Amino acid sequence: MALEVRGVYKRFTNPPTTVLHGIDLTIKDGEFVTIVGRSGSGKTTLLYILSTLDQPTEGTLLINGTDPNTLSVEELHRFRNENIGYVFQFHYLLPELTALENVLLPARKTDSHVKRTPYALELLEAFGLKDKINRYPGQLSGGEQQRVAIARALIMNPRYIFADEPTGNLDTANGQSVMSLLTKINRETGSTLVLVTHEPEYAALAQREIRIVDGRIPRTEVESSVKI
Amino acid sequence: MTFLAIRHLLSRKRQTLLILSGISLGTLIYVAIAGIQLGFRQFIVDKLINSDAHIRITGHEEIVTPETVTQAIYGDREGLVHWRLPPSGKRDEAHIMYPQGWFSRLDEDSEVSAYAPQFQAQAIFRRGGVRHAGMLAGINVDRQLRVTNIAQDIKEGSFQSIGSGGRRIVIGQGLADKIGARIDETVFISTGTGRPLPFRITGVFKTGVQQIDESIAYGAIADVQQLSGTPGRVTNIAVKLHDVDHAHALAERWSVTSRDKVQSWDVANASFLQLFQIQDIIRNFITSTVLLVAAFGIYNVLTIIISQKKREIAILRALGYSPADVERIFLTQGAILGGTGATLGLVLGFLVCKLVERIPIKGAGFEKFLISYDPSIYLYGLLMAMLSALVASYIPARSARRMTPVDIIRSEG
Repeated sequence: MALEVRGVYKRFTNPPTTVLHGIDLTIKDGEFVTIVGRSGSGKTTLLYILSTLDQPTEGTLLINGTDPNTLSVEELHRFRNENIGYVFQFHYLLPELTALENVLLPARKTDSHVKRTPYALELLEAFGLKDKINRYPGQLSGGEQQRVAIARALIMNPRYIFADEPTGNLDTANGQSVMSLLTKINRETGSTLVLVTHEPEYAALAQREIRIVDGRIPRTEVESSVKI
Repeated sequence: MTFLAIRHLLSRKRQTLLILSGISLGTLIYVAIAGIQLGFRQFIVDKLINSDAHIRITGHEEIVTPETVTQAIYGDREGLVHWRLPPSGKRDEAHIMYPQGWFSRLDEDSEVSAYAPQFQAQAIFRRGGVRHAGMLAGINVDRQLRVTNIAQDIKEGSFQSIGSGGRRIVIGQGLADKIGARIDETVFISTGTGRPLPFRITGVFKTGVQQIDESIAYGAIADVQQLSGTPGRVTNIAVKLHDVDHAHALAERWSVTSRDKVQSWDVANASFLQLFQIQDIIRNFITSTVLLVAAFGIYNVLTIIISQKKREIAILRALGYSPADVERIFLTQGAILGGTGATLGLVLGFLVCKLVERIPIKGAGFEKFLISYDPSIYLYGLLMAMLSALVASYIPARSARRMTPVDIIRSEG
């Protein structure tokens, strides 16, 4: 039961660059891992490949031993819907839906949004948004928007949560509250949490820190991370 | 998907309303024009079919030409004969050479519901010092009534009053006015060959078709034959079929084996039917122009929405909505716009038709606009609107489908 990448390369054709140079990585279920590195090091690209949003040019991704990129388009999206939650730097809430409707959006795909409404309310309440469930994203502050986005990522009880600099657009106080939410979820639900971040302070919260340098994971990092 | 499509549309109320009104206007125009045109057409066709025969058999016009005379005298030696004064002219007026043959044939044909032999002659109608040229149709009352619905158009007297002889006529209202005659008065009629004979008017009819009302009078066939000095002669046979749609094919089949001219009602009235075709073209042209404009509206708005909503398309994909789902969201918007707009247009078009129907018009045999409410008009209007909306939304929906989440997020980041 793990998330694995084997010999993953990612090349872009325009302009021709190689972003990832043969990444090998295993993330155990329930782990909280941060991926750190300079901008342009390939950490975001690795996150997208791990989370099935992008495909490796070479090498394979295995989730519980199966390669999601071999699934049909419909199966892949269903897999994402049921198993993966995303939190991006920008909240990406749909402006024409209320906070509650945004949270229930993934459930709508499988027509389970009525069934999951109590859970959505529970999440929003836990995130301190109880009195704002019918507000539109434009009527919420940045921190509130990001909390709604996290609730949306959790609504399907995903086994994997991928967060791409979720605090990037937030002030310190909001950033900290978002981070404490994410770590709490990892602790309490046992979901695997993979976090890309710039901030050493947040990276330190993780059980393991994966440093990417120019598209490679330096050998020493692999060893040191195993020790922890 | 429908939920998201509706929310997208509701978040852009003004654009949505604009497009909806475009589509409903197109549908409305189609329904109204089609209703008026087809209603009027039904009236005309009805008149044409029922006041005249479904198939009319008339005598062959035998015109003398040099070829026929050469053939008759010298046989096949064409080219050897040269006429100093080429023969020309006409031997006799057109009439059916052997009506008995037709009668027995029509009696046997199961497609034929009734037939009526007629003797028609050009005639001068005179009352006092006033003359007017017209046509006197000699008929057999019972047979004629089975073929046409002239009895409905009788304004005074009765059609049956013609009887089988005794020089009584039923005259068109217009013709009666022209010679200043009224019912129960006597007019002198001459066909040009014999002496004028007195006929008594026992009925007046008005079909609403001016050409008929101002020129035709009906009399007993024996009387008319006697008047023109050609007893027993039949100039045409009016045939009514069980199914008027077979008229064209049947007429063609009969004419193959006969020298006489066999014409179905649609061939006899080809100019009317051509007019209808032109009407069809104009109506379709107007409607498709309006719908085209509406379709461009849909296309434009959806293209703009999609380019503005790239982020949201990306997140939908990340949340597990497949490319097909994304495409469906935008196609559904097109379908909703098309469906709602068309329904609105159909209802409004129906109301406009009801309104137009109440406009009174004088003369022409009907008192108000004749509107067709044929369901096929409404079905066709709905289909056209839906089709144009779907085609217009398909192209942008397709482009939304092709977007990949990483490319969008990467370009945003």
